Amino acid sequence: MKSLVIVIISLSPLISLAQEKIEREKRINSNEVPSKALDWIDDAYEDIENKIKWYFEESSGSYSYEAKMKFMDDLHSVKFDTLGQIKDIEIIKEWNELQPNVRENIQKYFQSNFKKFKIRKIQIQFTGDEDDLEDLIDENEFEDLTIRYEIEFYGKTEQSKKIWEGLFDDDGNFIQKREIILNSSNNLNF
Amino acid sequence: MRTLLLFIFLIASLCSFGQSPTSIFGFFPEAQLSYKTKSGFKLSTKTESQHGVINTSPEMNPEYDYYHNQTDLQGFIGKSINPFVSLTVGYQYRIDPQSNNSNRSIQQISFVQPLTGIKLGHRIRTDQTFASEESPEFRGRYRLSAEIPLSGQSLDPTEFYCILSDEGIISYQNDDAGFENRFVIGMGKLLTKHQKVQIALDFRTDKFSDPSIRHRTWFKFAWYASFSANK
Repeated sequence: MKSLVIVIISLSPLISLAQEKIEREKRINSNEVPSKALDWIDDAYEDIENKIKWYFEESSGSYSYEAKMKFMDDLHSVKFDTLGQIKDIEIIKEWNELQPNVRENIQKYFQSNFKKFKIRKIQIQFTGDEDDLEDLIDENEFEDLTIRYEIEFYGKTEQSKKIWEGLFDDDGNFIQKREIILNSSNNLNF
Repeated sequence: MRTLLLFIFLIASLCSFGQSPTSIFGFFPEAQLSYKTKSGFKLSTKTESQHGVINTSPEMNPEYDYYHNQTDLQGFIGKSINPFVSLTVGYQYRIDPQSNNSNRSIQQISFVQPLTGIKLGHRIRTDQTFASEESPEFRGRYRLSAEIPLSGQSLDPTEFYCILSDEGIISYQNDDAGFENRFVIGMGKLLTKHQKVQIALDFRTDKFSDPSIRHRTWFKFAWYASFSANK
């Protein structure tokens, strides 16, 4: 009994190791979203038939609202700040939907940096003025927008096998990458 | 809504308890601690213990009383082939007050599929159990698990998740083959990037060929912690 108490006491500090970067995403109702963001969505996605799901996000102490919906067979994610000002639009795409020159440059980066790679997810990120972003959705115009490709991929090198999120410019040239570390899956493996 | 459906299912499952000829209910605490070394090996230890409070099998008094069913002490060493696939071998010592204590060797390959809004886990395991005065038992197992975040599309620290799994187990002992199914449904919380707590109901059904099929329901509560030498 005494040894059990000692084990419990010695394990208890582990449970308080909570000083980490907190990223949270919480589903919310549309009536909790700033009216400016709702108005922008209404104007840009006026013909949308699918349901819009709203989320409130906290990441490294900054907060944002995010609308997720299916539009023209693509998954769209629109991010707003806490005042309802649009920050960016991200659209999930398949590899073969990218422009040939973009594919070529991204492919060159993968081939020259990894022995083996597999793309898991591609998002095109659009940033710019709110009117230009609205034109992107309702008129399919790309004027004055900054385009980035955010690609989640598995990459194998001589030294490592990791999952990465790479950022590429509008021509598919590499900008930066960060490692994605999966949460522990012990409850699925044991 | 997902949380509500989960609770309705849990209550409905508990209400149906006791309608079969042989039913067992008890508590099943478990704790697992793992550590990833700099060389990429994962060392794990797990303790799980079954404590029955109801047993309606013909050979037991149908009294609602506490009994210690068994306690397992496990140790594993594993290596990840890549972020999604890992190979593991392990050893288990079982303390079994109802029978003989046993030794078990374990081999497994596990796959993790992180998808949008759900993480799937596949586990293929074989084990061999040895106990005095008993023939060795050989088992083959496959488990499909799903971890579904309850807020948002990814599981982040301090968030809750739903856990579902089903496992089929084929066993062979003394020229007899058997089958067992284990279905688990529950909820957990990712406390930090390194720790999870989980509660679940574990429905186990076996002895399909016997006159009285056996149902065992365990209320599990678990703590999982994983640490790494690489910060």
